[in-house]
Amino acid sequence: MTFRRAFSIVVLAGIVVSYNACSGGFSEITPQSISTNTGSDVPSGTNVMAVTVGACGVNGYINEPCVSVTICQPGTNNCQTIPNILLDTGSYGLRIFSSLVSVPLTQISTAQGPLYTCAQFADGSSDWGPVKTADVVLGGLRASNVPIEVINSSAPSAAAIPSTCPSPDDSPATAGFNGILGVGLFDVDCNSSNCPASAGLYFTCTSSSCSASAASAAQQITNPVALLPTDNNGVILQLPSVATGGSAGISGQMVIGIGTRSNNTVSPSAVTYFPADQNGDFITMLNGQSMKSSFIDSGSNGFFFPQPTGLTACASNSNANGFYCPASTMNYSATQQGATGTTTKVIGFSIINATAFVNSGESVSPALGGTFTGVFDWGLPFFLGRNVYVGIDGKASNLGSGPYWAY
Amino acid sequence: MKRAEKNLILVAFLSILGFGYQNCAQSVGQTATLASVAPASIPALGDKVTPQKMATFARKLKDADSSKPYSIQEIVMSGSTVKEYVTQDGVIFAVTWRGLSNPDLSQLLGTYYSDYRAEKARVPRKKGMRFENTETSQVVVRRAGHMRDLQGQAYDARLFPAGFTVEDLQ
Repeated sequence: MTFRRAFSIVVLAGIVVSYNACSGGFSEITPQSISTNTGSDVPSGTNVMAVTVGACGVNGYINEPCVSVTICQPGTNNCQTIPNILLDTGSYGLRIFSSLVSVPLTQISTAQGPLYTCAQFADGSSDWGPVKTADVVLGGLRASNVPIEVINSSAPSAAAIPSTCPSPDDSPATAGFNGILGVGLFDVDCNSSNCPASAGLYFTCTSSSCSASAASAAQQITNPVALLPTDNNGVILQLPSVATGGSAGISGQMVIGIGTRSNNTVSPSAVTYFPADQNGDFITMLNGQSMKSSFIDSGSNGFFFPQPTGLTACASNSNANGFYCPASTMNYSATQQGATGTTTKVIGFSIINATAFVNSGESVSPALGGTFTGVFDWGLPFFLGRNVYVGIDGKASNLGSGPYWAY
Repeated sequence: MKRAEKNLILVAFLSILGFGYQNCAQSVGQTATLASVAPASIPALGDKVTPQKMATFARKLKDADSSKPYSIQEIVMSGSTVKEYVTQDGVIFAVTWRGLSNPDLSQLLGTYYSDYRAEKARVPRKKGMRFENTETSQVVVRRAGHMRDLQGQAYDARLFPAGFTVEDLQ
């Protein structure tokens, strides 16, 4: 069994529900069969979105957090809800595969032509497609005229896509999700003042070729939370804890806004506030090594950090290549520190044998880890059993100014 | 306008914006003038280049000295700031990068690119593992980071100067 197939369990494929009555409320779609452990104090309100963790959609994977997002033709009640959207604190903005989008959306154009974008990820993968404007409904809150990416690896033609956007995802099955909702620390995916053509992220195209293009802040793919009329300063991810042995699936919620209403207000003394730098990074110290490009990414499915002495990596020909495979559970502690200031916090975490976990068939692990050099990527396991506050750059809350994390 | 002139203007524009450089380069001396980049012929991993040729592409960040017998040269590519590590003989033995988008590895890896691509094609993609760790007998390519801050490195350890380790890559 390959690693990939191991996670392709439990899931409903790309269900899309279209309807024309947004004002009448949004139908809930439960994308998969899950066990939940939500308590009696689960927040409710128009600023709350359900989150499931497990495998989302066709070829979903372990520790994948997903939500359903409603998009609408701007200014109308012509809306549709799309499930199995990866909830991602490591990116910014909404991207949905073209094959799932049925409401009519208009592409943004510059003087040079219609605008396209190449979203790039750290594994070298990319998502290509036109930049279009949609109203985006998160929970019961509606952001108007949000630039989103409609992922399409054949628009305007496969041959037109620039070589700097290699092998863009061609389908939800390839990507492992129907789309990505990037709710990380920034409002736009490039630069809040202007994205220059040299960034290599935006393009204008004819039917046969594309040229690099600048994109203004209003044209860039935008974190829809930042465009909400209220509750627009960040989000709180609230996921239950999971035992070391793992779970088949869990549910939690994303609460929108920080300190904007009773269900998202916490005393600053009750959490630790970590300012991030201009790149969205903070500091993690582990085994005497200080890593300044560390970050918290719900779209990564493990703790990824430099291999400590005595922690065995899984065999390169195994179903968990890239992860750690200790003979027994290993316990570590790392120290987190803001990009500025002196506040630190020690975080304890465990690492299990990834091959044994994959073979167990479970879909959620609080203790999956893998090796990388020079960076600590606090992935989805970090969110389990925590309320993580994600404060958007340039916006403030009672906890402080963004960009920040707090928990 | 020639391409070189356009690129110089672009670099100046980026500097004014505080973009690219400050974002991507670590604190380095700003002594030399940055040259333009002709994308089709960037000095690639494994290339042997003369100091004169390198100077037309790159800004020298560090000279070779007795304790560290290699130089570090910086090149601004589309979306990414690249550092090239060069032996005293002029051989590029490692490259690192950081920026808004991934650099075009077909340029940066030079003759190693086909070997790298073959290994990438052989190993199934691991969804959720948002980094890359591709190793062949010739070349190692690693990437990490997140949107707006993509980082990576590529090297041929067989070309390392004596005493150099992967930890010396910035």
